[in-house]
Amino acid sequence: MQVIGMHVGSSFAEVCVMRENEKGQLVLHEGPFHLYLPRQPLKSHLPRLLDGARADAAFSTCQFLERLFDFRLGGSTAQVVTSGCEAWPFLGTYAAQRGWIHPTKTQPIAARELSFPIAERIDANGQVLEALQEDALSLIAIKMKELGVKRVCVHFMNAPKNPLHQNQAVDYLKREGFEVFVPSLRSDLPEIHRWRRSTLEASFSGTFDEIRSEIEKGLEGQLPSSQIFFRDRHLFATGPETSRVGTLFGLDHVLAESFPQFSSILDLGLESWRLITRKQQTSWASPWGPIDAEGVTRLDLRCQPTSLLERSPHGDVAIHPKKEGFEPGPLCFGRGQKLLAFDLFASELQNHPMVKSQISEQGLAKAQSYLQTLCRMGQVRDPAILTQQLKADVLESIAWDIQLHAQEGPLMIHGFFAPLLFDALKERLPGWPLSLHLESSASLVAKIGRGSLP
Amino acid sequence: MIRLNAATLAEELCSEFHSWAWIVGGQLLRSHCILGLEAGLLPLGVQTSTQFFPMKQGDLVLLKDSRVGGSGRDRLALIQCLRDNSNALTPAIHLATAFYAPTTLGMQLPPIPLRTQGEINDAVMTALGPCGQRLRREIQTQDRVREVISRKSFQPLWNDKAIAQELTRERRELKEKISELPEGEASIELHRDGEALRVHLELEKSQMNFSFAGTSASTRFNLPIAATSGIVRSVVREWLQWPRTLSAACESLISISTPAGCMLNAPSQKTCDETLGLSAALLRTAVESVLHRWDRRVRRGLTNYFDAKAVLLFEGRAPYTISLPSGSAAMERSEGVSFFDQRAPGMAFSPERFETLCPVLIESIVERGPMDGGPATHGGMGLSLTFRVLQTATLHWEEQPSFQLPLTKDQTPLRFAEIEIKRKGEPIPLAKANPIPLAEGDLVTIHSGSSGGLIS
Repeated sequence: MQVIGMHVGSSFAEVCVMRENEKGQLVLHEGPFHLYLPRQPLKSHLPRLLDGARADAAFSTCQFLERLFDFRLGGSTAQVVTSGCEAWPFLGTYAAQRGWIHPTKTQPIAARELSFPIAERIDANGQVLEALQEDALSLIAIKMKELGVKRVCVHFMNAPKNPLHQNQAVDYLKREGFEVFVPSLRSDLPEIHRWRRSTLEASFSGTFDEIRSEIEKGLEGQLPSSQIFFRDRHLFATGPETSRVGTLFGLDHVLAESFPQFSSILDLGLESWRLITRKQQTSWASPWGPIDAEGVTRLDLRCQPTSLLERSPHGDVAIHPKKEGFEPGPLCFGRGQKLLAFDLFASELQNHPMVKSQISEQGLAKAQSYLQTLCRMGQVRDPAILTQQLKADVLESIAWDIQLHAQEGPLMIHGFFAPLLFDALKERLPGWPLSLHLESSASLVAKIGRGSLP
Repeated sequence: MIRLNAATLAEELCSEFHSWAWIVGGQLLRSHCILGLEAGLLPLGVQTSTQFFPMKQGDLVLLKDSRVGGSGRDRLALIQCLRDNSNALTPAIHLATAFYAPTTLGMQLPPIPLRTQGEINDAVMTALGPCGQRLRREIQTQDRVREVISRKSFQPLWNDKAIAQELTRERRELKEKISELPEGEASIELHRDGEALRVHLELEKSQMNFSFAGTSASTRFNLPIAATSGIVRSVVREWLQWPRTLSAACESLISISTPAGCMLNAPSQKTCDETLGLSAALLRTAVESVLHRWDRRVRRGLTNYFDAKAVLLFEGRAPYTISLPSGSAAMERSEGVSFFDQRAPGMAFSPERFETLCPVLIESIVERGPMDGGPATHGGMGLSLTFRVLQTATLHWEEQPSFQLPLTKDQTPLRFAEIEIKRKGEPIPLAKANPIPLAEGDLVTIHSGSSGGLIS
């Protein structure tokens, strides 16, 4: 058997081909190959990479939807809501910044004008107080079609106590050709968390379908779409069956399953650094507020590979936790205007196959010049010393997060930056059992995916 | 550079708590509470508990009395000794947290040892009844904090020298922040039925001095001095957009003086618990008002800190408190945010949970309508919640304050919370006295408040 493994991030993708050996184990056959997605889209570059290689299945994790975290969502997602509560999804939005004097709510994830009330009512005991009428659904469906709506969420009060109306609405709207999203029936979570989840599923759908289509077209001729599987929180599924929100956590679960003997896994990936522990979480603190999400816990480290480095009001250089991303990326890529954490390690990474085509001499010089400017304005005058200090800060920050959040027990370190940072982390965490794993994410995805096939 | 120190550690470890205070060597390292109330009360709670009991590492004390540093009303305070000072080289560390425990409404608890040398006081746990499970979770979370700070790698953070250095640096940075503000003074007064709340703010050499001289006693509003301190400093912290939680640095640069016996320094024999939240809201309003007068760099409306609060009592059920926050104030270029509920997920309003816990049926949840003759930029509207009562009940409505609030010339008034009740389609007049008896079928509408706007 031969399978393709992929990990698709926001800006980079990693692809490999794995083949079963005589013992039935999957081993690396070709790759891993790396694509910078803004310049090397999957649709055109997958065929070149794979060069007609035969495959029986493809398994992918996909964090591509993280690109949407800074976007305003919900322009085309409708909601059908219990009459009287149609404003609640908008009134119940989460406080992005606490405090009264400079308050900020998170951005809404659906459009108010696409929230449709419907007469139906089930009480807290699951009793039907007002039956759902198909006529009412029909009127809403007509209106939604006029407005060009394709995706709709069904948000009824007390559905976990009795999903009858929810199921009726879903059946009807699907027959009318809509893509329908419903919240889970967990009664332990407030309705606003559950509704927010289903709205996000709908809002992410378009972008997920785009990347899915890229992959499917890239593998056209080699694999039917029914053999291309995406990982969400709990399992691999074909595109239409995959939870969009769940894909954000697919790699977390692949890693947790790949290293069952480790209490925690530190993933120092190219695009994000996070700590995965086996403590089960029931909700995820999304950029739009808490949402229903069960599974292993992931903590994004305070320092990220594309964290911005800039002078603080106190004269030192501060590291910001927010990811700037790789578009345009760090200074060493030659296109960016900001010094990022990645730039500190550029000289060690310039020959790494994943990024060497992106790092330019001009970019390296730009980064160096920026460091010199920082030195002129600060207390440290030598750019080399400043670089060492900042690298030490990055490592200190990672070590701190591990000590604070990792579960007791052995810790696996994996990912793009792992070989580069492992020794330094070991020095900072004496006595903590650390292991280094060099296998690529794509390869691990392929193995776990293959194991999930009957 | 990254500053990873004891204070950073404290803030990270306490992110799961609603309110918390961290005391090291008897000094406030950090405290936080969204209202500011418990940020001031909890450090006093630690002081009181350690005076009563020689706490050893892992010992727990439970407290519910705002006069001695506990929480009030429907909240419990839990204090743990994270590290004792049996080793004289290192300071003692105490953590105090407060959490929502609605079934303790009406209880008052002096400091009680809950765990001593690893042994839980089962009698107390039993007496607490239904909130025991919630308490156990709080204990577990605190225990985890103790386990983390005991790790070898964090030990260097917890010596007197390191803490002193941190606080010195923070004091310097806060002083720089305060020095961005103009020197000078400002005053405001609030009056109601012969009672007065007076605030005088003076800023000199980066020291902020709040004087409440001339503030009277009150029949309704009362705060212990510890709560007053926490609230005033919290408001200032927010105003300055200071990124860190309260600490001893804030205490030293923001001084507060109140006459003994006034409503902001209530005598110990007065009961504060019933109106702690309302009194806190009043003080926040007063402090924000004086800051508006003094610091004109940013134009904004006045915040409405007063929640719409009602307690529903159905026979055979625990009291249920509905607490609906107001919208936020208008800013120079943007209207206020509607119904700004910034409470932790478990405490924010949920219509489904309301229906599960009470025999009611929600008819509508909408944004409260705008005020007539509105200004150029509106304050955030509140929420209008309408529900039908399915059994007889009583409703205790927390009357909104009738103080005349001081506004600057470009600020518009707040709109306070209101309640309407209809019986068989007809509005019923609401008598002054609380509680209000409700009949089956009554339709109750609670409107939460709107914050102030700005005249163009």
